[in-house]
Amino acid sequence: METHLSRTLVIVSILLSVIGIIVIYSATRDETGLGTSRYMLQSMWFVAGIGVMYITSVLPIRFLQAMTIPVFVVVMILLVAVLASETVKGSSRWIRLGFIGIQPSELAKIAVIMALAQYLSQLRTNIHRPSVMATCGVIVALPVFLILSQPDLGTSIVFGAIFCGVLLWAGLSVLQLLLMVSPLIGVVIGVVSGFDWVIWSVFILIVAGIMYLKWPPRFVTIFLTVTHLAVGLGAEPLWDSLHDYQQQRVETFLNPQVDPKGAGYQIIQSKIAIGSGGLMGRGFLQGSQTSLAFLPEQHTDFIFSVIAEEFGFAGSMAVLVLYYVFILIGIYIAMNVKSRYQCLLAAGCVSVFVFHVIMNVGMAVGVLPIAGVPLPFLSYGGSFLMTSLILCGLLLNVWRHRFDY
Amino acid sequence: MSVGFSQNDNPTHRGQLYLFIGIVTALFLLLAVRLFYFQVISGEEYRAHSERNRIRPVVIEALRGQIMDRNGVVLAENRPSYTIAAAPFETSDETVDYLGELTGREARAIRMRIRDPSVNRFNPLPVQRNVSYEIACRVEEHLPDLPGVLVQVTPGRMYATGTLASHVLGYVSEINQQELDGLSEAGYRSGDIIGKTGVEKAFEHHLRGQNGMEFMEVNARGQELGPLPGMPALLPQSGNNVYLTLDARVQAVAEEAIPDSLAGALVAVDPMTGAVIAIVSRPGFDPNLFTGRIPQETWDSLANHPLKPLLDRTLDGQYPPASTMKIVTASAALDEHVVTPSTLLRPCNHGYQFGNRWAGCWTPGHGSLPFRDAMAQSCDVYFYQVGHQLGLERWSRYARGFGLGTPTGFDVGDEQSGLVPDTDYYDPAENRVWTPGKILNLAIGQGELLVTPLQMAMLTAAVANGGTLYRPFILDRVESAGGETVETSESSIKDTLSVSPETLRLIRESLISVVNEGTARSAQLPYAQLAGKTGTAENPHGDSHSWFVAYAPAESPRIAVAAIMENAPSGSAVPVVRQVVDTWLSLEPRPVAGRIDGGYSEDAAP
Repeated sequence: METHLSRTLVIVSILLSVIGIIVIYSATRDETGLGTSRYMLQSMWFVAGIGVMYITSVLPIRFLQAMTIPVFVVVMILLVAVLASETVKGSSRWIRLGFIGIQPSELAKIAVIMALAQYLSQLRTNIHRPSVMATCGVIVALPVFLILSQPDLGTSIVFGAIFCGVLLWAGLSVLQLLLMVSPLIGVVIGVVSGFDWVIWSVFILIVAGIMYLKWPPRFVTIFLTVTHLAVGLGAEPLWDSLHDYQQQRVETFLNPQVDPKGAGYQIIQSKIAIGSGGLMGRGFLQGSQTSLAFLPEQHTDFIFSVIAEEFGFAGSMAVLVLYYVFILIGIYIAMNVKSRYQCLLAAGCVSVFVFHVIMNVGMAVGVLPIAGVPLPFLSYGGSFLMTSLILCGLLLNVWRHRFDY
Repeated sequence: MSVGFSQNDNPTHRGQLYLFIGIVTALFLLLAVRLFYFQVISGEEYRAHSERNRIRPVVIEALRGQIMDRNGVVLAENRPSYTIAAAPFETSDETVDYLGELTGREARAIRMRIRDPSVNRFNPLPVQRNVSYEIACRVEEHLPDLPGVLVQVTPGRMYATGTLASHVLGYVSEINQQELDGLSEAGYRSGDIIGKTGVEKAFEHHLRGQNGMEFMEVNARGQELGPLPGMPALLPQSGNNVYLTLDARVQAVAEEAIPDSLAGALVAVDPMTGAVIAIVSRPGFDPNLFTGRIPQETWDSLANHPLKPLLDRTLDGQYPPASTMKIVTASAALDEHVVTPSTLLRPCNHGYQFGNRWAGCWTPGHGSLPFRDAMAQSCDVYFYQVGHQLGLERWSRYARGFGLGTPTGFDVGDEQSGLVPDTDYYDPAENRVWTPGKILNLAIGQGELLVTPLQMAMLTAAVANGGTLYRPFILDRVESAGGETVETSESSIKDTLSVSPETLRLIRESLISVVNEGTARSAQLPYAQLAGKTGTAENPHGDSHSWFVAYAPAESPRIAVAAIMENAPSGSAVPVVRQVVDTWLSLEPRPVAGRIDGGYSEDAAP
């Protein structure tokens, strides 16, 4: 079973990547005017990524640990550099290296996972101590702040998932996690409800109830009380002081139906595409004839809709099962390694995959808001494919070195 | 499981993690159930939907805000116009060729617009605006052969009063690539209408409004079947209405007073606030011409017209101020005690000898005049000597102090600064050589000195109100389409004249003499005292230009005017200004917001 595990992981990631290339071919074959077609570019990234995945999987653990701070610093510098570079369509996300562009925000996912795992394992500190949580918060907040400035909301919330995932594995309970992020939830509830104080009060009562049940340390209690009060009193005037377009951006994110540029339209198109796939699909290359051709971003954020239309319920379920297997193996690895560092490293990787898959497919079937979160291995985009393969390489690394400590 | 390793650092609480696995499993199941529902249970329905129909998101264009004068007279409004639009994704090249044949627009131009890679391929884009009823009907008839094309009724701009205030109102037209690059974040798209000049450009953000969108079902042949059920249209928001301080009646009088055959400019402001009452550049043009595609011959006739009707002479026309500059030269001389009101200088004998050069005066022999008579008779010889004694440095400092050489800060923007030569200006390296005789020319408003009519109006207003140089403004208030006040202008002060009250008093007295016994006697009104100064600008390219700046009533000024008539005999501008002042003073005065907030009480000197 032990070697089967890593072999299965490799096979699943290669399968998903190859399906991605095939579907990207189907979704973009009509495009003209590109020097190299997208599926070819994606294939090149894939070949390179397999090599990088192998290298990642064999690096000694101590080398990985030693690289934590250099990697984090370099990624932060790249994030700052990206902000200083010229913008594409109003947001700057890429750094150009010759003919390829890379997104430092993707590399930041790896850097943050490594940093959190290293910090929480090395000190052997009590995860419940407020100072430890605060340090974790800073490690995550630094890149999130820079990525939000790009602005790229979708990518920055992934870091929330990494934060929650790693802390959960490090011993925090679900309710404690909920308490930690509750001020943020309060802000969202405030904006969505139009600052209805009744709804907010109910929310505060629930938070107070959880606090009573969990009885957190005094410092945490005071911190939460103060932030909740600050959010409750300060959110509305702060919100009013934002520009119209800033408010609109947030509202569109929370509720795409209000977007005048038609995010709601994308959802409808995606639903029609998925629905018209039926049980067995319309067949490879047969999908884009009709409604799907109306679907923007079909090779990136909405690639799942292409699969669902061309390969039907059978195809979309097959892909979901592949992800499910991948994630379960990841969880199994995280649960069954002996060292704290390796466990947390694996937990961070798994968190990224869980978040991306649930968010992306949830968006495609219209149960979650459109947040611009791509599908691991499948979506078009070199940086994210590379990141996915490196994360997979880290999982393989952890499993390969499970006896080293 | 491996055994035999005593050390186990794994921090995991198994219970928590089984809960985590449970949550992940539940989420995957939820997605699976959702997919099953969409694909297997409702699959047939969705497939039928996708085969039968497409959805087309169609932009509903917002009504552009209206532009009104101070009394609510509509200057710019909307009228329905026909627009041909095409959805890039649905429109084939053959369709484009056919559309070009039907509408008479080159197919290449249409193709360039809809094949631009930066446009949204699914939103129909306007390819031809303001088409005639006949062309709209012809396209409508052939719609079955034009998949992807639609005929829309969109708001079009109409300038109700034709050429009235054409320069300051400006005009709207289709956005160009350069504007689009700068504004894509603000939601502009190719083919949109945008203010190009004047008020339309300066207050574009108020006037524009926000476009809406509706989602139309379209059949396989590209014909709209109606709105998609369950997807309500996002309604457009009309732009805000803009009220100007302009008075259309005064504006009309001023425009008619300058004959069509002449070029000229006139600016009338409220001297106590800086609010613009009338702002005229002649000849004008009809801004309605620009809202559609302007025919080449119309454009050529405007662009090549010898009198340059597209030039806004009030802001962009730069002229020597001629004898109107004597207001500034005299202020400097009195304030610097170069002369007193009773000083007599060397006599004017149709000019005087300056070194080895003869500097002429405009009329044979004024003799020796005291200050007030020199001003009333506009004796050049008096001001030559005063200028010579002042010197370039002091003279140019006063000229700048009166607001010349810098933009006035007009809220419509895009104005020229004019030119006040100073010691820095005369640089032999730049081929601008200073000779002592040059100050003689500058002192009487000739030479390199250049001013705009707007600058002269504000200078006159500052003399009238006792020394406050206001920023001119034309925006009175902005109201939402529902009538709520969004913004109100307040008058603002650019600078204060740094001359003593005594000097200003003497200047004002002398300006009354100009009208009562001097060169502007034709400006007299039976019921109100005007004060002003004439000027005749030498024009190396042809006949001289006639200036007149004035304010009235002299004791409590309510209007200040500057006017110039190009290539017109001396004094031609005087009756024009008189007529404008007469019209304004005869009208019932109506307060403007700027006046109430702007400090009639505080800022205005007695």
